Amino acid sequence: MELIIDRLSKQYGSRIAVDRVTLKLQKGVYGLLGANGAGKTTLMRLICGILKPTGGSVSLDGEDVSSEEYRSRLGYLPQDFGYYPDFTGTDFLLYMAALKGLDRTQAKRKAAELLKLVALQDAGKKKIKTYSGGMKQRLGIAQALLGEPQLLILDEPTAGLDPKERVRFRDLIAQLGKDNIVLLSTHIVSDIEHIADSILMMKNGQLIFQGTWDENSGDLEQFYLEQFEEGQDHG
Amino acid sequence: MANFGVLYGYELKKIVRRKIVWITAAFMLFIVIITVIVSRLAGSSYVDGYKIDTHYHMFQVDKEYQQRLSGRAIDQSLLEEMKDGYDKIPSDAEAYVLTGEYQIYARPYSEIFNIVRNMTNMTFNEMWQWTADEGDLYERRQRMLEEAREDDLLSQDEKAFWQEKEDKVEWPVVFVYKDGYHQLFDSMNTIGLMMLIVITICLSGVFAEEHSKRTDQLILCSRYGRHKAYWAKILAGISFSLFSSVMYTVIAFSAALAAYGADGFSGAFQLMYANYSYPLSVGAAILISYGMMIIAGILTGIFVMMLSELLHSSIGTLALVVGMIILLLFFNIPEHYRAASQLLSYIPSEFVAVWSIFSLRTVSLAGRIFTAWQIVPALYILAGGVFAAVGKRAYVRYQVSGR
Repeated sequence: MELIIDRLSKQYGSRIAVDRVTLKLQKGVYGLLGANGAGKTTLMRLICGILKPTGGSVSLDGEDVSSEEYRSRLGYLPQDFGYYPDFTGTDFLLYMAALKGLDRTQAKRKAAELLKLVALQDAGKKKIKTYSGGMKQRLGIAQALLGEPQLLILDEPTAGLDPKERVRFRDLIAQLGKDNIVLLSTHIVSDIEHIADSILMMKNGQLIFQGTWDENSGDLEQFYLEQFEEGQDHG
Repeated sequence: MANFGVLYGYELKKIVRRKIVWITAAFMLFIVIITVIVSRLAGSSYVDGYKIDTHYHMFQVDKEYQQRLSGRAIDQSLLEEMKDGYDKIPSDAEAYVLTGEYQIYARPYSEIFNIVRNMTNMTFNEMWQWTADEGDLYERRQRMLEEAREDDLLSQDEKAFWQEKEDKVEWPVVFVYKDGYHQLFDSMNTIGLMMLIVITICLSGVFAEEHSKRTDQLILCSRYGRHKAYWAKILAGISFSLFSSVMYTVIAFSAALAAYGADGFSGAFQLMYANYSYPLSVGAAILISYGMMIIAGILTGIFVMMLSELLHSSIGTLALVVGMIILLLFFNIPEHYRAASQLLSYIPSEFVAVWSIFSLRTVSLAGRIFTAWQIVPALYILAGGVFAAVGKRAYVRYQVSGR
């Protein structure tokens, strides 16, 4: 399984949000780091096919990002996760499951499993408008996992989660990364330094670092801050 | 069609779960009841500041008089009876309806008097002077029809078409009591406009709210989000429009027929709409009118959903469509610009009116002539397809950015 991102660019007028990013991702967890405005969210939207690139291409095992086959293998949690306030958590997951192509039986079973996985089994029948911020975020994670996606794109997935939930979520991501491609963006280094197999760092729309990070490589946060400060100095 | 039914169910749920849907539907329902029942039966009638009777009692009395005449042909004998009754009213009476002679001798024939006036375009004074004559009545009617055809700038083919239809109408026409249907006929424009506003309010958010709630990005990156989800939304919107239109029709019919009675279904349409020559019954004409109202509701629903996707704003969509409806109430294209004024009359908010549905202006196609109520359903199917396709194009090309 291989996600190929080839010279992917997105330009808004004179501003380049993503600048000729080229990547080949295989099974594993990829942590995408970058300051606000670095282009992380734009890159993720391009990978999800909800934003059309100015140039370049994205494909998963040869399936183009615009195809139904590609979308059927994709799970996405956007940074600004939207929901239907009057739907219950279960209804929301069943609706998303239908959109993802699960049949009724599969959808019911998977929705119940995922609600349990994100510790919302007791809130499944409650309307989403009664959920706390953390509960909504957990529901967002659950919908991204529907249909057992082989490509999971998570934009700031830990936002709004309490420390205990963060740890649970990290373990879940590490598990999912064994068989799938998981790309998660964050600006909180500790979220990914222990679970990411590979680190991607973006600045001004460009990929400035790509590689593995282990204990021998030093302090990831320090490295990240240096890159950021460098940018500030030059800016 | 895997999952289409499930998606359709959820899209319908999204529409009907909004509180505004139920608030608007209840308010408009109230207006429909007022239009059909209260406006005619409540209150009293005054002449020169003098209360002559309550509307409800007047209705009861007139209904009884009309039911007595039901089944009688409007022929020489009935015309003479009517004229005899009206001739007994003192000629120097200032307000003839206040005279005892009117109440006793003329009022039982007042509906016949009105029908004759409508069929001939005679003024009150002309009616007083008129000598009851069945032959003259139908000659005057023929002249009125010919004048109407000239006024509407009909072609020779259209004139021949209407004359052929006129020749098929049975004369003398048989009088029937038909107040229930007449009230539905008179109320249709108000009910239709209310229905269009309800549909606009309830469907303006179908696509726009996916963008404002930011659920668009989840839908658009899902397997069925770009095609099936779109058509499920469109079908849910169409179903809602259909359900709303049928609900308003059923409620209006129930209210009118319960209040005024269901008599007169098979009476001649010309008793209600004198200058229309098509051989229709009252019932057929009412069913055609409300059928047209239902398809106008469906087309409006598709148009509103298209705008909802193009504008990405439910308020913008609502303001634009309601603004157009209000503007068209006051805007008129002069009749002598025939094509433009005829086309304007086919716009849903203009077409929910009996004068548009039963217009004399026709459309010639492939050597055949079609009346407005025959051609408009086909035009609406075409327009609905175009609106849905334009909305689809905008929907699949939408890009999530700038948040």
